[in-house]
Amino acid sequence: MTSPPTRVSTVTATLAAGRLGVPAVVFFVMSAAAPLTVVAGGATTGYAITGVTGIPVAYLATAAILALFAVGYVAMSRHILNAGAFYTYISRGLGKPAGVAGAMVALLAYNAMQIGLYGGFGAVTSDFFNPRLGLDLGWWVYALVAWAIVAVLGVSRVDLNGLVLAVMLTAEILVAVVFDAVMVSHPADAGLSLATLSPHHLVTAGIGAALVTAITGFVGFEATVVFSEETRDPKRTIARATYIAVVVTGLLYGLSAWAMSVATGPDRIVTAATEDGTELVFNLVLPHVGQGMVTGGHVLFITSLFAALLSFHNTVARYSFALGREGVLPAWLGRTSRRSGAPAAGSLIQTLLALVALIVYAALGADPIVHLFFWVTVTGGLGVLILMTGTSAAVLGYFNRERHGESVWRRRIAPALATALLGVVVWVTLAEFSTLLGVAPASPLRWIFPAVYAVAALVGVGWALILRASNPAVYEAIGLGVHSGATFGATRPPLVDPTHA
Amino acid sequence: MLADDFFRLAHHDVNGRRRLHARAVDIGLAAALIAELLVTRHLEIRDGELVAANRTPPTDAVAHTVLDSVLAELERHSVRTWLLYLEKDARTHVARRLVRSGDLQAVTSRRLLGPVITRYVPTDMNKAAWPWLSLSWRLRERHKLDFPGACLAGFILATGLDKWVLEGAPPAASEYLQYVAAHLWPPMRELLAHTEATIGDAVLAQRT
Repeated sequence: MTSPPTRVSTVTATLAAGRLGVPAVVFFVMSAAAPLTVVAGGATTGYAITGVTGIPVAYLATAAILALFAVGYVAMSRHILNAGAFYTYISRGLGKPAGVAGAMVALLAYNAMQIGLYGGFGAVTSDFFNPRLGLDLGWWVYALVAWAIVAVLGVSRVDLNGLVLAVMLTAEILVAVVFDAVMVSHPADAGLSLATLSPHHLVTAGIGAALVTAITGFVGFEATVVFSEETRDPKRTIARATYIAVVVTGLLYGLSAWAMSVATGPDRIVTAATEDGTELVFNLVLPHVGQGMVTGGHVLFITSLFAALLSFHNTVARYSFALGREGVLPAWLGRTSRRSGAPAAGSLIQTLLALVALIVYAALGADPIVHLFFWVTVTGGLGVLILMTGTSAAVLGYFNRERHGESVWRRRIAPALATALLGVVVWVTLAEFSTLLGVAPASPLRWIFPAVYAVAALVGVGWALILRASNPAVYEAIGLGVHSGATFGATRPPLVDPTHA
Repeated sequence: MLADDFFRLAHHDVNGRRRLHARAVDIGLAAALIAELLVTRHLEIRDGELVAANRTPPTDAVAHTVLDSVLAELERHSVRTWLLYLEKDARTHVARRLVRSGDLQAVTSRRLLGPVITRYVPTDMNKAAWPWLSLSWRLRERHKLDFPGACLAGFILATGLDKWVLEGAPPAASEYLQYVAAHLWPPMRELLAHTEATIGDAVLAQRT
């Protein structure tokens, strides 16, 4: 007996063969989020600078809010092109001027994330290599080495091998979990205290600072939707991968931050973090696991910082490319390197910006961890938080006009809740920005950092209005994800056609 | 043929190496194979989808293969889907056609413990360099282009090869290229818009 012949489309089958499944997408986005960077760098510095003990519960609360945000975000990603960029959502949901404002905020925020990481990388590598090599080089020397490597990789488009990233990520998570187990099994006098996980922290002073610190640690998870056209089952794969990434990172960050507070005692965590900085985790586990494991942890911390640097560099380059391609930014930003196909113009500009920032910080003698790593990355985190709030509102606006066959939970309830919660986080963050920076409440810095985004947004709106008046074709194409611009788009009579050939 | 000339432009005239990153070459060649069938009116683009308009077998074997795969599909696919599908074999198809016509020579080499690599090396560098010479000169001199020449000009613009073809040329040459591309035969222009967008998406979806 033979079964009746079934005709499967060769085209569909061939294209499906190379597509991504859930684990691949999760690995790609989680390695960009660089867990060890957040655990050993973000959480400890967060304790030290904000002086807030509720960091662990803030990570868990953030994971919950972001999971809610992801419901509408992933639903809308199925219906739009260029789904990888927040500004696409905002222009489709809240209008093109808001979209361009979002694009400017995004460029600034991702640049801030990337440049701030150089501070962490420089400080951690100089502490690691200087004593071992008997050198006395400044943090900025190491940061410049990383900068040079990122600059070259950025234009030559050397993809980091997916398998290498997966192995590194797994090792990072393993090290974090082992360290957590060690810290939890060697508690301070307070014993296994759950104090830092208590929800009451969520309504106390300083929570805004803690929440935006937490959100900074999650930045990168939004990239799952970049792969929506490359997955086997776009409807399910992206949604699952996004939830898995949010839940796994949220639990890992919450657990690790809590484990530190157990090992030091909740009343001493801020003091200990202030004294030890990014060494805190390693110092806490050193007596129990031995030098080899701690050195391994350090190496992974460094590679994780580097992976994050490269990932955010590429994010900025791609953003510039997409905006150049749509004609929102000058068209030369939409060009690629001829041989490597990398978005070279965007990459070079990011490289240049980072160099200027590094030179300024080195010349001013500022602290790489406090003034560069923490201040600048959390400011980046604030920008991404603003973008997510706008995106969430845009999801509501988009589905308000048409249902696109999505359920009321995905179209209305989840995005409305997410918008409200993210809006509250933005509000308390701005109210407590002095706590976040660890400066006096009267310091002008508390306004200068957030004001940068207001300026960027205004520039964006202004630019959109100028485009509407001066170049309607480009204005119409904003957020559509395809270069429908001048060259091949418009209808013009042909000079020669095949009949004259 | 269009795909042959684009292949010659996109590869070095002596050693046969790519002048453009791999995906742009592959997607460009896939588009060129579709373009050949648009010109012979075997295929048409309707609402962004590729449709067979004439079932008469084309004389060229590669064109025959491409048309067969369109005819074999029960449902229609977008131009972009076809570009992504044909991208996988387009370079080999065109290279083999040029081997059969004696223009290329397949050279296989094996690195130590590595896979066998086939490179296609031009047999006659003058012939291989001709499309570049002719197109570059015409664009720089703002000389009138015939239909195949204008199509080829559109292809270098859509794939990013124009930077190399017009290296060191005055801005007027670029403007002329833009003008030629904007006034292409409409089906060709639509195909090239999809080609440019598909190559752009390949840049955006890069995984790091």
